[in-house]
Amino acid sequence: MYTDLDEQELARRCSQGDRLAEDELYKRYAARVYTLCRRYLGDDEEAKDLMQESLIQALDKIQTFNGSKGSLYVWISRIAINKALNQIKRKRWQTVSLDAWAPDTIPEPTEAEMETIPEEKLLEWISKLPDLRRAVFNLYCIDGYSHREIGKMLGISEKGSAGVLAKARKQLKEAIRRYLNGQES
Amino acid sequence: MNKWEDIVKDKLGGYESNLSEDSLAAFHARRASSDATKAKRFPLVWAIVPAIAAGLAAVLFLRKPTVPKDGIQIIPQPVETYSQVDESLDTATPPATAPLIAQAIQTKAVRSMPKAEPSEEPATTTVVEEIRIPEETPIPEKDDIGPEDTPEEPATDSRPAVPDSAPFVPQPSAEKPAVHFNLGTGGSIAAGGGLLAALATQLARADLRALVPGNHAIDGINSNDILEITLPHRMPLVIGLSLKFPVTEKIGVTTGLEYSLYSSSFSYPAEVQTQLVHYEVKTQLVHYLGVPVRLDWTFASSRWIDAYLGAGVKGDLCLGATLDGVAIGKDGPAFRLLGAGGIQFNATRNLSLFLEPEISWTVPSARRVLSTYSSEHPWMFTVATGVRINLGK
Repeated sequence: MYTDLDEQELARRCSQGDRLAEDELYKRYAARVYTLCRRYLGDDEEAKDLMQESLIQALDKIQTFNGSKGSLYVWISRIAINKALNQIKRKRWQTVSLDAWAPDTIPEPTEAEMETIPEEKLLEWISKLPDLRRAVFNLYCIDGYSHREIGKMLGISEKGSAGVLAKARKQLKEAIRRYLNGQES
Repeated sequence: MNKWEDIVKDKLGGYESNLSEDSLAAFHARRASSDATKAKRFPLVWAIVPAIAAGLAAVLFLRKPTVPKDGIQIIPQPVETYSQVDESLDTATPPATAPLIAQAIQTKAVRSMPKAEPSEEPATTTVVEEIRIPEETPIPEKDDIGPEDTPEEPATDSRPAVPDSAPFVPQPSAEKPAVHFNLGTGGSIAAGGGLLAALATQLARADLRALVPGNHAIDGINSNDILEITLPHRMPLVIGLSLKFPVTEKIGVTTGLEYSLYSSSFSYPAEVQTQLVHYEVKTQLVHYLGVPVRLDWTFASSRWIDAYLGAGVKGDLCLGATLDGVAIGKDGPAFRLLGAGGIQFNATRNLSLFLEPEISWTVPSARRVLSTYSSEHPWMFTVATGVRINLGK
């Protein structure tokens, strides 16, 4: 019965304290939110905690959800992203090795090459990025924020965001290239 | 965006990671505990108000001792003069005068009082126990005093003549008894950061005026009996800027600049008249600029609150000192060892409010010459509060 509910109706029932509706919301979005949290935090346990916190907060504030402004997942994912960024900002940015500043001469992986890479591998490489690079890469490349927005969210300049993104791309390409060359299983 | 990044987006944008089967149960448990926590939650201001009240109460309670450490507190009693003596009465037995009541603090305090006849109610050494000092035999009317009754005044005694109506006249003695007023060691809490300390300082100042017997007549007591009054040093007012540099996630170096104002009052007998003691109170202000350097270990941390312990050193450089507005010699530098614990409320990423009890020990130094709260209390307990700027976080 609850699996057939549209997002707005599901949100309405959740706002009324319907526990079954809350379970349905969890079943629909928990795994995707968990992936999002893994992308941003890079640690599975922290990601699990953050996913639960995000969903609890979403349920607490569900009466403020307006279906006309976007999907329920996008609304929940914004909560999760904000929480993830707060968590990242509370840590010190990880030290960046100097070789990462060298010019990017690594050839870009082709579409065919990318299709061979499993999602878990991509998540693993992203999780190994330093905090700031991981945040900027996720915000820009996957979640579609602009450098201006990223700058505001992370307290860095627009150019700084672009610079960090370049370094993140280079580091990811290195990992992808090593995998494609068979240097990493 | 590059092609390979689009593919990453497509792959991960809708990717659902595997969740364990018990994740829903874990979510239920967490949600239940979250609800329980919310039920117990109350506005932070409810905690802040009693905390400030408790801090203020502590300051008020500790800023001066409840009893003088070593001394005797004279409580003037109403005096009945007997200038009109009933002719029918024997002048050798004048009307009873109001007894002088004193609060004996220690036996030696009693020793400093004029010698008296044995009392029916002997003095005890019980702390803050009222004793009744026996009435001295009043000096009878001149006409009634025979030569043999006249006490021999020492030649060196230059005290002003005591009027005949004085109900209490101490026996002259070669060794002048001194009643030491030591109004205590003062409080041991200094509230850094302004409000509490400022308030406490003002209260201490107001209270001081009441304590100083200057310009008050103390009936029945010869002014020569009170030779020395030591007034308490006021608690220092400390205002500063605190900066915190993180070294690792849990270790940080806290430093900053702290301005300290040490205020003390000294009283000097300025004018002595019969039955009237005038004291002149002068206020000493000593200004210090200090730099604390502390290593802090954050043992608990959340989004809003950090709790930490720290230890370090602080150097205080005297900027200047005045006595009633007149510049006097500077004090030497002071070095302290610090130990602190604290709670930091993180308002933003770089700005926090902190509440920080700190205990410090001032290293003794012969270069420090001024008498201040710090010189009198090498061990100091401070509760600092204020705003902290967190750098590099």
